[in-house]
Amino acid sequence: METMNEENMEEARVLETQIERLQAEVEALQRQQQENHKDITLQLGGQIQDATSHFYGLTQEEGEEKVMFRLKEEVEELEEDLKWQTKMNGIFLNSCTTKTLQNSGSKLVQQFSVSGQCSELAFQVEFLLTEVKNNQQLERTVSDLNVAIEAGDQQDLKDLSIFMSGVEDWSDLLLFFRTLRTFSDRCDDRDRTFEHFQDKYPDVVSFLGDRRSEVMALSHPELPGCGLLVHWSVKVSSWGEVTPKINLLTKIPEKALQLFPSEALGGADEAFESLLRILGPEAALESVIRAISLSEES
Amino acid sequence: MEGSSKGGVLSHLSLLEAKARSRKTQLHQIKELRDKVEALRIQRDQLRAEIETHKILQKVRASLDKKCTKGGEEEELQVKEGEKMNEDSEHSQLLRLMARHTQLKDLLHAHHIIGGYNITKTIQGRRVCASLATAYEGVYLETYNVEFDLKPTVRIRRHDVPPFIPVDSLAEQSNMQTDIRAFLDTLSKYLNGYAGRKQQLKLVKERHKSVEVMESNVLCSILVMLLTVPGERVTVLCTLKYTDHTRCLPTGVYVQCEADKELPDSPQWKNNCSLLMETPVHKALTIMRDRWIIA
Repeated sequence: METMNEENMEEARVLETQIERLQAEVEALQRQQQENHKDITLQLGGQIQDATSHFYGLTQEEGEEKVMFRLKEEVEELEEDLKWQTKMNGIFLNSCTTKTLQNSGSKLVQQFSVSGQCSELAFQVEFLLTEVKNNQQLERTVSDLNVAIEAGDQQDLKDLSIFMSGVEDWSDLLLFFRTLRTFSDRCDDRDRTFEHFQDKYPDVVSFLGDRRSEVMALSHPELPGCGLLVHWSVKVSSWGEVTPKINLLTKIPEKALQLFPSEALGGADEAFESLLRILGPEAALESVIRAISLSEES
Repeated sequence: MEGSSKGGVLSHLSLLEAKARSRKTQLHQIKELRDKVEALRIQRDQLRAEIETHKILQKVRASLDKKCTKGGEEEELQVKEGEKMNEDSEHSQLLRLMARHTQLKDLLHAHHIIGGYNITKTIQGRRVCASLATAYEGVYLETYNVEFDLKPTVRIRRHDVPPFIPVDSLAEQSNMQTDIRAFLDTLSKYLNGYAGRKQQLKLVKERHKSVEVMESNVLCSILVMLLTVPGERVTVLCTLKYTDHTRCLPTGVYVQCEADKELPDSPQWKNNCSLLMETPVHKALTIMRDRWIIA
């Protein structure tokens, strides 16, 4: 009986040292894992967890095919979801990387770097997201916001860059995206309208710059010296309000004006403004184009 | 004698019983220890596996991110790298799926953080639900939800937007049948305007104890405050009107002073009015306090 007890004691001692060693190992690995998770947000749950377990032969009962099939299914669902969000938000995201700067139970600070495309505008935003748990309520705050946008046509962005420096001061991430989207929607409206008129009246309509030009030139094919310029700009206030502004400018040689003083042309801008108010941009522009092309049909 | 011998047998028996019991507990303890060792071993192996996978995944993910940012030009190069990886690891396809999984999760999370509408489809695509996030100066506030029927026509089914936001008339004015987003954009502007004004009012109450809020409404489209001019003990009634409900800045500022009728026309107060027109009210009040205009 006594010897048996000693054997047991001996085994217990061995097991206890093993436990101590393993606990230290596990703790070290957990620390390493926490450190790792700062660089990549790897949600080790669901299918990903199964895949990981399978990957290291921890679960034998399921074949790779089965694990892969389920993971594939989940990835396809996510792809579909992302497609929907992209379509509905009008914003295409290229990449999003996060880095955890602080994680102390109730407070989580993460650094985000997101890049993407909104119509023709490419953007890159960086910010800190702080989440604080307070009486079961999650308070989320954005700070240290940094935004940059890039577009083919630089003059488009004069207003937008003033607004952007304000947005950085207020860390208003949501306002930035609301304004960016409205701005590019209004630019798209203009481009669509301009393109439509170019297709419909190729003899009258021409553009000075590239496709995303703010100015559409109108002139009669037989009177190339005289014409009208439609300046359609999209204004952004420093508070992010977006308003399209359309002006009509006359381009008539001084001499022609002296020889044929025309009141209709002199007041063209004012007349166009009231046309815009009554008909809206498309119909107002259409009637101007018809007038200048001396089109018979009405 | 009889009694003592009886007692001797009994005590011997109970001693045997105690020994057997202690052996049992010892074995039980050892079993517990063995189980603990086994559990820790599994935990350690799982952690090792996760860390190892993490390392590889990080590499795959990084190349995936690079591919997504740089676009088409790099694609050819990536395919070559992919082939190389294929040789390196038999699990490469699984790894690529896992990396794409993490990337998709991050992108969806980013859509959510930047104020995306978080569209969810329900009942075989016949209904969609959209969330509208609000925030003011970096602080996330309420989120509202709108559920739509898609068929036979696009129609709002239910929502939790406060009744003083005219959801139905905004829906009528927008071209919802062809463009739900245009409607959501407009509604989002109204909700963020409201959330911003409400937050400003909260900050005024928190930060300006000497400012008395006399009147405001649920939509926070009107704000009447009693301001005190330091030293002179004069009070000024200041009214801010927000007729554009998508904005957080007033469309009109009016100042009244019982004791000094001339005060609203003084250059200093004209200046204050334009400050209040251009700066969010809680910040404008801070500037005025720093300049010793109000207490």
